Amino acid sequence: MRMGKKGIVGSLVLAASLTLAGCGGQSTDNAASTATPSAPSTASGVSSAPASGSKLNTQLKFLSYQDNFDPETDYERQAIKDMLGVDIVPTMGNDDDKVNLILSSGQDYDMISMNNRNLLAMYAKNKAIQPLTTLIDQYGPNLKNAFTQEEWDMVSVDGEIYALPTFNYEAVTDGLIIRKDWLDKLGLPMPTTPDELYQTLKAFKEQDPGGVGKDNVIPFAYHAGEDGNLLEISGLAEAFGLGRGPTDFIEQGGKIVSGLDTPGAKEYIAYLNKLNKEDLLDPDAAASKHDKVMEKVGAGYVGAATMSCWDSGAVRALKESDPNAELAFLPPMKDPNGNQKISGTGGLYSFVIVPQASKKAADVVQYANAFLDPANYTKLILGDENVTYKVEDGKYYPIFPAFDKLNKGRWFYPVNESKMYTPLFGARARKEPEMAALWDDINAKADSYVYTPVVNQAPVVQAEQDFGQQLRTFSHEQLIKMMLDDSSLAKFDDFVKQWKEKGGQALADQYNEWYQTTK
Amino acid sequence: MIHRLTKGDRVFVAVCYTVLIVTGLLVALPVLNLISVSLSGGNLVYAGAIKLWPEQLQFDAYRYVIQSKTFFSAFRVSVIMTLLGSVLGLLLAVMAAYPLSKPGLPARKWIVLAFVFTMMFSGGIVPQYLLINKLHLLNTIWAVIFPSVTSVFNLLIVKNFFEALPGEIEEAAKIDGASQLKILFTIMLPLSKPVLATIFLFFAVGFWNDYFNARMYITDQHLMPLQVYLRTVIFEAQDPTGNFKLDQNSLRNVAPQSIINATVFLSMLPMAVLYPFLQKHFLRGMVIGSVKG
Repeated sequence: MRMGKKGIVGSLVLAASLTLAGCGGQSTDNAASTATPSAPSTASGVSSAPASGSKLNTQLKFLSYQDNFDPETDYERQAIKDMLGVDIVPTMGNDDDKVNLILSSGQDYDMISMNNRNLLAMYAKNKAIQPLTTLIDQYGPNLKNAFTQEEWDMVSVDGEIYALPTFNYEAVTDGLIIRKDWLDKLGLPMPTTPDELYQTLKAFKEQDPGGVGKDNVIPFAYHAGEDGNLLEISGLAEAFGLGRGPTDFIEQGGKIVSGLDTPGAKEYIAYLNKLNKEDLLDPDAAASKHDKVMEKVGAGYVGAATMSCWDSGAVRALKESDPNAELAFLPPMKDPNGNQKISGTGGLYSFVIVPQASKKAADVVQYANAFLDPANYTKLILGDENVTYKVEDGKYYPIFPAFDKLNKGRWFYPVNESKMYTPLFGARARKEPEMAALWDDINAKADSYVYTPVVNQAPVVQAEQDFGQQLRTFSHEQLIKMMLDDSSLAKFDDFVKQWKEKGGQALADQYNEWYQTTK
Repeated sequence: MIHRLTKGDRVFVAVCYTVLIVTGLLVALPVLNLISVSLSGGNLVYAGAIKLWPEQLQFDAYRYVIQSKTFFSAFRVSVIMTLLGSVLGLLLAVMAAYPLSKPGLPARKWIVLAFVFTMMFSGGIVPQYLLINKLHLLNTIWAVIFPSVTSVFNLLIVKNFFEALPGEIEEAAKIDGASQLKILFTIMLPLSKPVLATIFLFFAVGFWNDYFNARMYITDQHLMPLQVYLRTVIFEAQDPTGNFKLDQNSLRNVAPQSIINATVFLSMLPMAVLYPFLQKHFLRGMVIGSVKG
């Protein structure tokens, strides 16, 4: 009963609390301008930021996501206090509707971490959060250096910065994996094109190199049954001129087009359809989620699959069932012109807003600026070299058990940028030997082919809010039908037409509208 | 049951047993699987090999959960919330239901209607949040207890039960000179054990499973109840880079799913233990309360 209430109430909360935020915003408008210190010389670019080394002396109430640890006694909190002079008062639970209510009731939070950019725009328009541009000009030289104009735009509304962004590390974590030992047994090279992959899978099926029984071999498994999966196999779909899947938007000739408008979409679906028809695809693929795929990989039945470098458990399970088994990531498949592409993890991950009621916006900006100061950064992220982490051949490794105390450190980061963070993140990715091997393997093979899907940088367009979910559900069903069934595949053009009518065209138009403004 | 059964009866009994056994298995098997996964070796769990019985028996998942400070903090909060909320809820239900069960109460119909009205329509989450904020209850255990402590549904069950008790008992007590409060606490309540046990269980299960109120009104990690904690454990398992904090060796033998399952099992244990003790009252109370309404 209680849970049911939540769903119905959610949309009401949003509407109602924004109205309230609107009212609240008007009355606290003055508070904002008092909180914003007058910036006398920003135009000349002169910065009055404290020199690195001098500490802030402030207390900031911070709300972030719910997690399983005690933030008050956490090492990272103490480190921030010792190094930066900022006493973080940690609180947890930043669900959207809760943040709405907190902002509308004017509570005394100084920083709230969130990741819904729709809400950012609404909060800004309703004056529920404070603009930060002036403060960043004044107090944030490190912040200004860390992000490009495009990156700032992602947390700006009408040209004004409203949040401190956290960008994710830039790496490849998901790709296609293949049983190297099966290839070796058959004397086959690593496949490099979709066609070679097909031939390889066929050989797996016919010759059963793993000796698991011809009926048990699953040449190719992937998680088509994952909620909202749109036949996305990054590293393979791109070889057909697509994004991660057939419905992804891509950049073509200075415009944004849907993959469905390119010939590659039908070819790609037909390719998967062929795998299925010839029993090369896991018969359960249409209902399989990632965990299920990993179970089958771990049990040793699978020749090739989609996998993430975090699936070290599957590697261990596989080694136990067959000690000679060897998994290796495939480099991204080549398209007919020999180009390779695979999608990465980069992009805006979350951001921190400063509620209108806070009187410490300047402190928040100074804190974030100090956090990114190279003199502090590595120590805040990884602790001390040769105590909590070590560097070997330029790669970062954790030292256990000392590294454990940094386990939840990310909860506290007020801001982050990918260039500095990516190499340091390696220490987390290398927490286990198997995970480290997978991480190093996929990034060695794929790192130079990474791209960020073009619309990831776009603001959240209206059509996405109106049709996004519905369109994904519709496409998920239809695409899977086409993968499994020839007569559905024959109606591909009908599907594209319906997809456009159901909002796909509006999405494309609105993305293009944005895209033209970026030039 | 000792009576001779006709052929038809026997078929009927057989069908009943079959349906009940099948239903029972449908409920029990997933729980059995949950427990087995929590007790099995990590590689087998990863490979999906665990069905009904644990293999490569290990208790590392439970060791992990029991060593976790946050688990016990959440567990304590849930126990306090449940006990306090249920006792208070019970008390309020009885105090409101007793007068309402008296036909002589002036404007009784309208008062009952006013209660029932709140069952159908509520102010909504925004006013409720603002109210709790204004009362300075945010980040206190009361923010979770108060919104659920009056349950009109439970109140009506108790009221109906009271109405069904013979009026002569009360008259007799009055003649003996007992006050209203004395009649309620020494005469009516002992007679009402079935209904009290029933709604105590309703309240207890409600408070124990509360997730929404805690999620909305609490931001202090030390006041997080078990259900909110559970969600963080599940999220944690899905994020391998911020994985469970365990020393390297034991981490390797435990699948995150085992830790989730161990946590789920430990958190459903108290309610599972409570049920059999209250169940006999529970059934009687339900029937008595509802039929004679």
